[in-house]
Amino acid sequence: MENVFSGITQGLFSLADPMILLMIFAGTVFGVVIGALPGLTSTMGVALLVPVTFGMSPEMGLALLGAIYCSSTYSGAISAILINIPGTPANCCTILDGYPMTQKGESGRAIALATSASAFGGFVSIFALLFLAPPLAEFALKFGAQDYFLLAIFGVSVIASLSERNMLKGLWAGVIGLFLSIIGMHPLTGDVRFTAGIAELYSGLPIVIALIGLYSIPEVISSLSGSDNAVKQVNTVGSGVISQMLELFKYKMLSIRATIIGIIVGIVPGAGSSIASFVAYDDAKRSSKTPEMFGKGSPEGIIASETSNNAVVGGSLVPALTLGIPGNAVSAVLLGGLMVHGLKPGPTLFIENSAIVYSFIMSLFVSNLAFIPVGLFIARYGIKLIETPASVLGPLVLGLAVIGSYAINMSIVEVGLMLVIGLIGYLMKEFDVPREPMVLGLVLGSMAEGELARAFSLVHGSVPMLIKNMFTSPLSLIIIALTALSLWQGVRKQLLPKK
Amino acid sequence: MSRLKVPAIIFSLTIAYVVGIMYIGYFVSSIIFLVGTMSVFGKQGLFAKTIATAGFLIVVYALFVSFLGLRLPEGLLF
Repeated sequence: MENVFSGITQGLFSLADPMILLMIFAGTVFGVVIGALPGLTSTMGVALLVPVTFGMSPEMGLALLGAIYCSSTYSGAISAILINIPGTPANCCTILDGYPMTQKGESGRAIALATSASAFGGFVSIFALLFLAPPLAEFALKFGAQDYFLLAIFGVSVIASLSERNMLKGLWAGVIGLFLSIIGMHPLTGDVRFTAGIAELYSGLPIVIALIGLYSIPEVISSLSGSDNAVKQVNTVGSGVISQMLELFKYKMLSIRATIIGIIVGIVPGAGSSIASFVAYDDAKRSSKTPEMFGKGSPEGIIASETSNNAVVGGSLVPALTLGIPGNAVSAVLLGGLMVHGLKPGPTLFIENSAIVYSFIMSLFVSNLAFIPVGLFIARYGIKLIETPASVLGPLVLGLAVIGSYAINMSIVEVGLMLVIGLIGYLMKEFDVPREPMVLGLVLGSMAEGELARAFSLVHGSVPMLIKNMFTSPLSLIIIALTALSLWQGVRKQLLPKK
Repeated sequence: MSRLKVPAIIFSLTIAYVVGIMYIGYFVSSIIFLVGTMSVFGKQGLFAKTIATAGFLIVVYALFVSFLGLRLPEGLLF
């Protein structure tokens, strides 16, 4: 615990650096805009800006990326409330009550509640991150190579069985990700595999490049395929919003419950902010005194949805920072951002780079407050921005994806790789295969392979020995049981008759 | 068929853009690509396209060239 407190003080000191605060502000402005624009997601926003963080210190870069994550998760509510289109998938439940409130002429109240609820959920979830992650990291130090291997497999299995659509497709996507992760040098022997002679692939498929392609190209294609500019009417927000934010305190229990749901859903690998807001919305409806108001402009609906989706931020970073297992696609991109700075996600991160980690966590507290003024300002004065047609946004996103993937290694070949991955992403979207399991497979694959190789070398390459070790170590057995459980859950969901 | 039109156009324009960056130069290709793609998909006036393109190039120059010190590929033009 002492380490945590010395880490906190260290982190607080780093916040005194005006450059860090500037990065939080810049990230918040960018994130609010990205989040409010329908079709541009948090994952895309973070991925497009990872290349920009190269020239910065890791502290600055992470503050920037973290601020984008927090603020874009929030600001999707602005478009959900004002134009009835969720800015990001995380805000799809906000529509249900946000837009009816707008129709009743209460758009200001809805925006105010969404803002304070998001800030509350986000802020509290960072406390969870701060106090759950260090002990978990300490515990994870006990993990052996085989446990890490099993953990990586567990991560892929969970996300596959959680895929909202189809477990089989999710598993396929996970396998494709695992396959892509073995491109390049073997982690121990250094044998080069599947590179097709492309030197850029020797050290593996660059994760940031892959994520830029995977999350920007398909989005651009689908936004340009739709009719240009579906926005019919943009509603505006009146004044007096700030005082209405305090209305949140009338719903204390609701906010706390939604926050806890968000944190827990965030920690589970594979379940993202949209799942959290569905669960919290459902829970709020069941525990509400006026459930009949839900869907007709209930403030409770907005609070549940917005509190929980922002609470996912802190939760999703717990497994990401301590185990290297990202909770969702955005935290996978953040891990990519860590790795480009030469940091290795995992339990040792809290020991070897504690200054950077705590500075990042502390910056997230500020980020969760920074989006309040920026979001309210954009909702009041910048709402015309939402009307920017896809035909202008799409090319700009493509341009950013090209320059961003070039900037990482100044290599035009990597731009080509980004486009190839973009094509794969487009095909996956077209055939309704979820992309998240592939990202997890890609991120966890190299971890799984390296740890398996290490576990093998510990038993001098004897397969029966390794299997025996896995089934006699209590820790490994627990992880195997959890993997079996998550797969069984997925199978059961498939077998049950659809409602 | 029409379903494949948008992705086909986007991929061919972007590939042409990347080739253009290598042989013509970054800034000229970017202007052609951005204005061209916006014209293919939308009916905005030249003013909106110019503002968006200029804004993009300023941001790229400020972030990637001045701040990151990135050397953009120089083709025949700049």
